[in-house]
Amino acid sequence: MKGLKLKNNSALQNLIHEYVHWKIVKDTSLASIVDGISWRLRFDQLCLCEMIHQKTNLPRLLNHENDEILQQNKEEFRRKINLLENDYTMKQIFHDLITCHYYTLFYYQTILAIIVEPVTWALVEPEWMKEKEKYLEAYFGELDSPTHEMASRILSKCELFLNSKNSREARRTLIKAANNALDMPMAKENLVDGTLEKLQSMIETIIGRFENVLDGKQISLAIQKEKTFGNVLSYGLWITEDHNVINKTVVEILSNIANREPELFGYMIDRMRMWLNQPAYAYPTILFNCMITKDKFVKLRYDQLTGLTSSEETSSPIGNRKVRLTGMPLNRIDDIVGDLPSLLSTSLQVLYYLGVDDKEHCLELGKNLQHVDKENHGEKYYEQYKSFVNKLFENKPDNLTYDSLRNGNNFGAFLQFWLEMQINIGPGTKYLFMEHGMGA
Amino acid sequence: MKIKWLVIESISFFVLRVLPNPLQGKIIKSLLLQTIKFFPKTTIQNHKITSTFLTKNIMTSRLLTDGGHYTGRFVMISQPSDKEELESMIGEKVDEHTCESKFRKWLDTEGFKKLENLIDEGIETEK
Repeated sequence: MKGLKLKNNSALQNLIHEYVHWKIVKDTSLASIVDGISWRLRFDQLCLCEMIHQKTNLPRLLNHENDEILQQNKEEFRRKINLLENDYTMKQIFHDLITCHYYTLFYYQTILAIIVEPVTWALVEPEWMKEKEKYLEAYFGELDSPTHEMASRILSKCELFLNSKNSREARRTLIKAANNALDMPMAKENLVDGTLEKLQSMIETIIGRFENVLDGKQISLAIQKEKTFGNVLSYGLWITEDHNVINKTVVEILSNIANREPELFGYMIDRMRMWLNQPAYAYPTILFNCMITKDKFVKLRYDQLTGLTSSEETSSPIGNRKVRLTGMPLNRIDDIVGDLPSLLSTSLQVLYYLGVDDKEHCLELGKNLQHVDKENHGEKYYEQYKSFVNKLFENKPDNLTYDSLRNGNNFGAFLQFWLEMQINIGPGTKYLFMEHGMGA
Repeated sequence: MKIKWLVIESISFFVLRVLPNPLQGKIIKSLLLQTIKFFPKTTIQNHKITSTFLTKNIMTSRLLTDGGHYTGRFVMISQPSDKEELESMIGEKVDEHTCESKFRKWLDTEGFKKLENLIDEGIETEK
């Protein structure tokens, strides 16, 4: 079978690559778990950040005016942040946050990537298939050799399968096999415990399931009702042992925000009501970044959940509604609190890279800063980010590591680090965020 | 589960549409606290982190900077494309004000079909 010609267009190539990822992962039990934990991570960030603002009066918006306030009063803010070090509830929420961060960005990501990437490459990356080893190294080189070999094995299996049955049906079967492999029944085998042994055994189970489907064997799948949006939200609620205390606090804070922003909350309830009993992954949300002019960066959005389609367009995801407290348009849920909730995750990410001495990828984390600001401050922001990272890698903090934070230590030092990022990088800090879920 | 959500939704509708604001807050708070009890205990409740490892065995950076999302909900392209690439993809001239709506229209009318077709037929890159 001869493929369609695709003119050299990296936009379409990127889109098709990510779209295949979505087709493989959508509507699977593993994706439901990841989505649930990702929502939980967002709620934890919102609540922790809201508590910080309430207790310290730290500005919610990181614009140039507030940056001046921050710079002029940095000692005062450092002192106030320091007082939060022993706040029991905040520490509990932070522990939940870093647990969710670890699971979404590292643990499940590894499990999913082993199957999602090779299948995608075999289907829509003909150029990559000519240099398989290079791409296997780029994606899986950091993994231990058995795991690396498993990715290589999947890639060979896909290639063989397509070569032996080169047809439209075979290509669809490949996606179906990967999708079914990730759709394990919501039972014990879905549990992860953070250990390497479990990680590897889960990967082996998934690969076994994938190969069984390709061989025409039946495998068991998750029940559809476990994967509705409503259920997905509930999965994230039980991730840590202290979930009762945390849930209560999260709900209290969210209800206070709801009282403060009744129109926004009402809108969200309306939208969620439409989706609660739908399968979680019926439609993709697309976010497409584009340099529309040399200096102008735009995000193109397509999202059925918030009404951003050609038949139901709104200029902002919730129809030009503004956050009362800040006066800013609500473009993402974090805006209800301000500019800073997602910086909590990004700070953790920076600390992770610091711990594994990976400056290159730490710098890459801030690369998009170059494109973000309307008034052409992007390059300046990126320079400030680079300078911060360079200094950090030259003078690593003694005890502040990702591992120590996961073990429940150094919460105060982490908050100070989060504040120092704002002080050192300035208004650009608000753009240092990752979207919901894990990147791939 | 469906009935539970219907109850929650109905109460939410009543609270948000009918009651005055100060009362709303109190009721929402109580409603949300009750809602927590509705949630089923899933297999995840037993999650524990028993190990403190963070080693090479964990996937990291490449996936974080490449652009997609593994929740099965998002298709995200974080590596910026330029205007010409976008125009070539959707087959129309765009400007700052029209690019997003034209992108959405393209997806609804041709884009998703084209993506499906490319997956079905395979790709040969033309350099």
